[in-house]
Amino acid sequence: MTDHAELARIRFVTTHFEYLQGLAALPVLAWIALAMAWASDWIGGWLVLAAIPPLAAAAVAAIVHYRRAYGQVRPPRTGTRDAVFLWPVLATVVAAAAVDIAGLTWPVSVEGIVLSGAALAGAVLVRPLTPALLLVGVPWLVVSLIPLGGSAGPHPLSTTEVWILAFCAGSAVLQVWGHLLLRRTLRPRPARRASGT
Amino acid sequence: MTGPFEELAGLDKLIHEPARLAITTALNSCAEADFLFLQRLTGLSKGNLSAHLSKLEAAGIVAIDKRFRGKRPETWIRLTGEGARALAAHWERLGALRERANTWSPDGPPRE
Repeated sequence: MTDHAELARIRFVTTHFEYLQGLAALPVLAWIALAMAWASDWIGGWLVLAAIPPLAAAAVAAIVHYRRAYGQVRPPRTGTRDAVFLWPVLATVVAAAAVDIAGLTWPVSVEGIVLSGAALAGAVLVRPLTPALLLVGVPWLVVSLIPLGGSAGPHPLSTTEVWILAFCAGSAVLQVWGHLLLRRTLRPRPARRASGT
Repeated sequence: MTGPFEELAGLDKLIHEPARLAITTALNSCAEADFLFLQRLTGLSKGNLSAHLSKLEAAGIVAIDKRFRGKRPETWIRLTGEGARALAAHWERLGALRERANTWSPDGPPRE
């Protein structure tokens, strides 16, 4: 059971335990996506408000499920862990602001390219999440580079609401992968005999 | 100079046992973890996990803290400073052993 790859997975799952509880984050992402859809005038505002109670209940139920099924872990006392997840968002916000301030309209989406770059860099650096990050990063990059708004632009993915929606969709894929990784590492197994006790 | 196989005998058997290596490796990656998490991680029964933890606690590798959350009892386990040092030394020894095993030759001096 404890080969090198298994120990590496144990380390990763223990260090990032709370981030891998994907079912708890999905309702939050769903609500942000609804809010962005409302901001784009695709749905009515009442739907965003009406979704709060069931989504909040789903998030709480997921947290309780994880606690009962997998136990609890207090994260390591380091501040650098959270920053890893903030950098892509921060970089995209800065890129979006820079493009907006400069008044540039390009046929490609700078925001999408920054997000996909972060996802692809993550795929190289964070091996346990590589499949999910590739699944997110490659389509983002392809869509960002296709001039969907015509040769003069602007690219639809450069609209704030749309790139936030794309970010939510990508994060949802990552959360589901995290959940599956957690399940795989902490799956119920037939009770092992104690050796060396 | 001993060969890599003689060095195997020098490994810390308390930590090297697979379940205890998984427990200490996990605890080294967090501030503390509860009993259920370690049970799911190792796949051990409650009794067997308790036995492993008692051994590690007796050796000063882990500290066990039993507390209540409301009316529910919780058991939290963390790696002690001594445990972290022992685990680091163990990994260092394993790394060196792996290196030597890769270059070891039964007939003569280590291969380059």
